This record gives sequence, C-alpha cells and structure tokens, in this order.
Amino acid sequence: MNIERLELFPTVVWCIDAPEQLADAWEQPLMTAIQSKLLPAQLPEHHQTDSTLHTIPEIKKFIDWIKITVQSQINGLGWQVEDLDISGMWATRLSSGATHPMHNHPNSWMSGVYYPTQYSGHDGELMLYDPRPAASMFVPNKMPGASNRYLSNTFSFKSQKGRMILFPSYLWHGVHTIRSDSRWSMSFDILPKGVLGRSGVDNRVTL
Amino acid sequence: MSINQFNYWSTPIFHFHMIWEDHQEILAECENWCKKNNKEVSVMIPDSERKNADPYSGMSEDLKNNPKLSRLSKWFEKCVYTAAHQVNEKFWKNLTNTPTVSITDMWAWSSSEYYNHYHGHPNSSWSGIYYLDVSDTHKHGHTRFYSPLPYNHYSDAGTLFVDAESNIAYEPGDGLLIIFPSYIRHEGMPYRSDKKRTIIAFNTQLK
Repeated sequence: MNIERLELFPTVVWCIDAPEQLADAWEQPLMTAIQSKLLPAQLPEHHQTDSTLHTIPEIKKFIDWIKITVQSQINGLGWQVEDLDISGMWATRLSSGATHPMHNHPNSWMSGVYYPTQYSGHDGELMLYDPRPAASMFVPNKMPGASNRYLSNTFSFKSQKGRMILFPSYLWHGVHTIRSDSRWSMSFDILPKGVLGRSGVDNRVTL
Repeated sequence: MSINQFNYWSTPIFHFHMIWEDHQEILAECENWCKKNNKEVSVMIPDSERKNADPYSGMSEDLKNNPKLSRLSKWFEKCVYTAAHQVNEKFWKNLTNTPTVSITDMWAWSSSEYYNHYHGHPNSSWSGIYYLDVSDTHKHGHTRFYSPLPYNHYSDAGTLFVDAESNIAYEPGDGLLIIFPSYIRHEGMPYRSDKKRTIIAFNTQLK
C-alpha cells in the first residue's frame, strides 16, 4: 500500500522575532516617527497615523530590515521577485475596550505587523482566520483534547516587542479585544517591484 | 440602447420580534443555564488566562432540551420555516416532502463582558440570535454580519458598492430575533457593562 498525503494550497505565515538589541535600538526612533504622523483620533480607543511611516529617513534601517527579511522568505518559497515595494506603513494604538474587526488588505501582496513596544497585557492577540470559505460547510467533532492546525479555523499571535508577523494580504485577520492600557502596532503592505508575468504568456504588468 | 441591471447573489436576513408574557422567567432560566454551562464568563480574556473550562467548548446540556423553553424553541423553528419557505418556495414545489425545521443545538450567553470574534456556524442551514436582554447594547456589543462575498477583489472607486457592504450591524433590542443563513460569518462586538447582556443562539437543519 502506498499512501501519499498532500498538503495543498497552504497559507504561509511567518512569525519573526528581531534580535533583542535591534528591537531595543529601534523602539525610540519608531515611536518618534509614529508621533510625528499621528492623525486625529476617530474613536477615543483607536489612534492611527497616516500610511507614510516607511518614508521617514530616521527609520530607514528598520525599513531595510523588513525588506531584506521579507525578500529572503519570499525567495525561499520560489518566487522570483526582483525587489519589494512597501506601498504603505501605518501605526495603530488600540486602547482598553478596542478591537479591530476582521478585514484583509486589497491591492496588496504581502502584509505584516510589527510591535515596536512591549504591551503590558496578554490579550489583544492578532487573530488570523481561515481564508477558505468552503472549509466551514461541514465540520466534524474533534477528538478530546485535539488541537492542531488541521482542526483550527483561527490562529492567534500574542504581541511582543520586536515581533513581526508576515502573511499574504488576502488572509483575513483582526485584533482581539484590548483590556490593558494601550497597544501599539505597525502595519504594512508590500508589493513585488519590477516586471510581473512572462511576455506573451501571462498578463504582464510593471510595478 | 437598452440597459438591464441584474442584481444577483443577495443574502436574505430576517427580523422577527416577540416579547413573551413569561419573558422574565425565560430570562431567568437562561441566566441559570449560563451559570451551569460556563456561558457567563468573560470571553474577552485570552484562552491561556481563563481559569474555567473553555466557554466555546461543548455544552454539558443543550438548551434546546430545556422544557421551560420548549414554546420558545418551537417559535424559533416556526420563524426559520417562514424564512426558509419564503426564499425556497419555488424550489420546494419539486420536493416530495415539505421540509421540517429542527434545532440542532441551542445555547445562551449571559455576560457583562462579552466578545465573540469572527466565526461561522458549520453543519447548519439557518441560524438565529434572539436578544433576551440587550442591556447596554445600544452603546456597544452589536452583532456584526460579514458579507459572504469573498473579499478578494481589486479595490478602487469602482468597487465601493461592494466595500460599503463588507459588513453590517443591527442595533438589537429586547425580543428581536435575527434569522440568517448559517454561512454568514459574524462577530459579537465588545460589550462591557455593569449589567449582563443575555442572548440565545441556535442552529437548525431542514429535512
């Protein structure tokens, strides 16, 4: 008997922790950059910057680290991408009682979240949701105590200073309720740069 | 020139309203059931910090079997039949037997601190939420329903009509019953108050 188990169409998510000394060194410049771009709060518990943080020269080393790190992971999957373009980067402060409902990022390829400071609470997890709508048509019961990625339709990450979560932009995500003071996060969208598609074969586009 | 516009892929959601003469007894019974079945704990606390059993896990007793709620659950089934019949009438004509509605599971939540992140109800045809006591829900804690259209389109000014309906939230009131197809994913938005908010939810199948 020959059994081959195929794990098709996986959704790859990276959890990357920056070296502690880098996360410490970046904290102050990042928070200064964030303060310089803060917009008036739309809700008392929800503050956000504009989406141009990646253009601030003082945090160029951090931006370069993101691009190099993401590029190496993408190349590792076999994608031939000449360069990456961060199309937007913004920071969000969620305070007690806030949540960020489920959404994804249209017109983007890869998205990520970075936590510039340590959040005092243990809640406010980044929630990732199964992107396969049809996978929830029928769901059997799980064996007692069973919990693994084959059985779950939700995955959560706790925020931690220096941590970057990287995922495809189509992936539905949100933030679970914040109960402590406030939590800062920096989000970004990434597009592949250069010529996409093969001449005469695919739709060819230059970004 | 003639123009015909076709609006396909609509999603029916029904509102019914009923306050029973024994409303307070029903409320008390549900609150009592929640105490026994771990459905009154705060669900804003992350799983790792919960001392009690997981409130999302299976119930020790199904609320649908509670004799004091039998009239209410029969009404739920009747409402689901009305909704399902309205949208399926022309298809049911071809069936040999008229379908009947059965509640497959029914539960309640009674909590002063509540959040139920984005989820769906598998193995079910139609689902319902009955708001027994919305308490301070007019301030927060609405149920948010998400569009079943896969949010996977290129987004620009031409798609604003899709984006505008990516999710909707109704302001609930005591006695409101919302019946919706179970494939509609939804989210119980954060609710935090001195007073408890009590709802009943259920799934059904038609055979």
